[in-house]
Amino acid sequence: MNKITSITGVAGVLLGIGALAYSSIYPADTVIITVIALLALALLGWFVVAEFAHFRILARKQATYLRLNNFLMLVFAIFAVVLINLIVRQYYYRADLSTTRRYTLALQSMTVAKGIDRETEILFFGTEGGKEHKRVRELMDMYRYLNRKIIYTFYDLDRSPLKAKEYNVVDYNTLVFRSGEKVVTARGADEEAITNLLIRGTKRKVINVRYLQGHNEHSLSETDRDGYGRVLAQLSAQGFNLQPLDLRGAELSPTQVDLLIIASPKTELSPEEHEKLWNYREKGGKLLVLVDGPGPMTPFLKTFAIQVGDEPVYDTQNVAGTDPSTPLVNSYPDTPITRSFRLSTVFPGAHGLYYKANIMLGFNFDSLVQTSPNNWLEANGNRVKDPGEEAHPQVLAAIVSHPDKLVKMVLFGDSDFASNAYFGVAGNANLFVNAVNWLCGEGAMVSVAPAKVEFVPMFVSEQQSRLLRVLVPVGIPLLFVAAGTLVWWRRRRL
Amino acid sequence: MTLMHIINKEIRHYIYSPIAYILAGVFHAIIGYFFYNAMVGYSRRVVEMSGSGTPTESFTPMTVIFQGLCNSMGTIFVLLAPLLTMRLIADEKRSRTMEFLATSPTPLASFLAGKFLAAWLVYLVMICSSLYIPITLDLLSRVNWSHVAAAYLGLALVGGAMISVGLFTSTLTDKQVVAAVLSIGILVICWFVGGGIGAASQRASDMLRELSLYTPFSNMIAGLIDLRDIVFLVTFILIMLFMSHRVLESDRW
Repeated sequence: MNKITSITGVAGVLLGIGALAYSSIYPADTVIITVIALLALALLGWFVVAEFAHFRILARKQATYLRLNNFLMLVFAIFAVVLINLIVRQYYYRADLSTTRRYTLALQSMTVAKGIDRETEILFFGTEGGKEHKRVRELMDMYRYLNRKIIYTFYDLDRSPLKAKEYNVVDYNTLVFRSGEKVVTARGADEEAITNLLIRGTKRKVINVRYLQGHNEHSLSETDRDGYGRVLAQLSAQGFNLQPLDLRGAELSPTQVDLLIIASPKTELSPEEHEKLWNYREKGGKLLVLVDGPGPMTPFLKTFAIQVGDEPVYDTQNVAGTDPSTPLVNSYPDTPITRSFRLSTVFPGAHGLYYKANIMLGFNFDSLVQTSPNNWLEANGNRVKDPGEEAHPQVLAAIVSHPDKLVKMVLFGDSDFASNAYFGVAGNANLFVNAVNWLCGEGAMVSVAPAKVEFVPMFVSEQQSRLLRVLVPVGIPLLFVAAGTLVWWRRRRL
Repeated sequence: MTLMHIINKEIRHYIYSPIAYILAGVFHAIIGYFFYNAMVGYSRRVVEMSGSGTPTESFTPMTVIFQGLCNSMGTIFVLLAPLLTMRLIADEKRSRTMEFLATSPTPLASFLAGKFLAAWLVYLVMICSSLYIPITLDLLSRVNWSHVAAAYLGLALVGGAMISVGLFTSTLTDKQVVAAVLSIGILVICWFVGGGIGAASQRASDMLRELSLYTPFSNMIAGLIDLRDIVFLVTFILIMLFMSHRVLESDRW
């Protein structure tokens, strides 16, 4: 055995031990673990190939060392197998072929899991061997499969009181999110609880809101009637980091931008900008869109199956002293944004929003603000309700969401209601801020539908039952016994 | 003797000896009884549940009957696989033919691989003869055949692991009964080790779960194909075969 191969062997063993130790301390560093383990395997492989003849002699040596040789070879083989398993555990493939798709996460959870960009540990405190414990383990395995930065540890609450105390856990089935210094806890042992815990845990302290610019939108810096200066002041005062964004030279990602506000662009968006918007939407971005009739946003809104009405909405229910082109709204549908909202809001020159249900797209469209029944669509500009201009109550704002995707959008059929001239009128500012808060806060949470419960009825008739009773526990075993007897009898005759 | 010759010889031995038929008969009697009970029980539960609203958990023939039976098949083979393998090497030792094999030009690895593959093939025939279960379910209800394929892959791999343990214990002794008892002991430990939480510490129980044969098997019969489970079972088989090889090699002297 020459010196170089000896060193190779020792280095292989040391690296292998190093890979195992590293994987138990830093399980999220899959690349480093794999590289070290592969290097160790390569060195050990080289050692075996180089010393194959020597190994062969050792293996057959009649000596007192034989048992020791066997033992060492076995340890070597087990070590190599452990390293192979370690590598496979870093990069593996899974296929869910189960009848109930038990091992597949909901689309929202997948998006959340894939979006995590730093090492994140989930600790689960429950009862070892319990049903919830088993299910959470299955779920965590699914999250980790999608993103190796997610690691998880399970604790039996009764057997790990110190650990539980460290995180102030007192209840069974408590999840703890830990990433760097950040610790967030939640109750629950299902997919929805884990996904929402990940969303809460990965949310940055500063909420980044971006305001699309470059298409003659309302100006954020202007303090005139048409500007959005009051919006900037209000949101900044509430701790939001609101900055203008020109899409032409910037990246747009939900991990960097929590909310994108688009306030009535007047000039067309370029295809590149449309693509960025589309990608932002697909990755689960949140949008607050305000439009004043059909315009540059029409193609984007069409992808949600939404159209904006051509004619402005007039309503006899308006603020005294103004004309019917400024509908006044003082009752709202029950939505997360308008729940307990009692203030009136005004929408000068608003346009109706129309949703054409499209199963393929699958979006939900929930009305947020509606006109009174006494509204009409002003077609000829005479400001009078003429025959043919009557309309059902018009939707002036809506929440758009998708059951399987993280994307959420609040759409207003009017942008002037948030301009400096109207922002302070009645409850306009409150409604606007409510919408922003919801999109950046609770609205960012997902509602994961519980796993599909399948019920397949199957009936066995009396006749079938009788047939099964005779055929299955008796008939089939008898067949094997008869075959055995036949073979035995034929051999006896030989 | 080539590998194929050894496999042929072993399979002929299984065909002409009563043990394989008895084991197959016992296996089918047990599993058939479970199947019949599960079918009738399921039918009754459906009637009961129809009157009590929506169930809270999935209730399908695949998850209730088929998965349950696969689980039972695995457990039954913890006891039956050693009976299939107990004579593989122990019998050669008892009849003093081992000396002949040890001095023959056939590599020991081929000899062991032949014995293992023959026993595994017989096991696979027994397992495949239980395919009447999903077929019957398909006639009466609907069956997800991908799930069936995953479950049978699990049964095949875990069976291979059981047979490799049986082969190893058979190399340790010339008494078949001792080999079978040893094998059952090892398999019971490997099967239930993941569930044996009890007094073990958190870290120890996590590690034991990783070593359990039941964990990868339960994933596969539930319809989950995971490369980690497959690699674990295959490497488990290889380690047991390697250990058998070392024992026989040391017996040469």
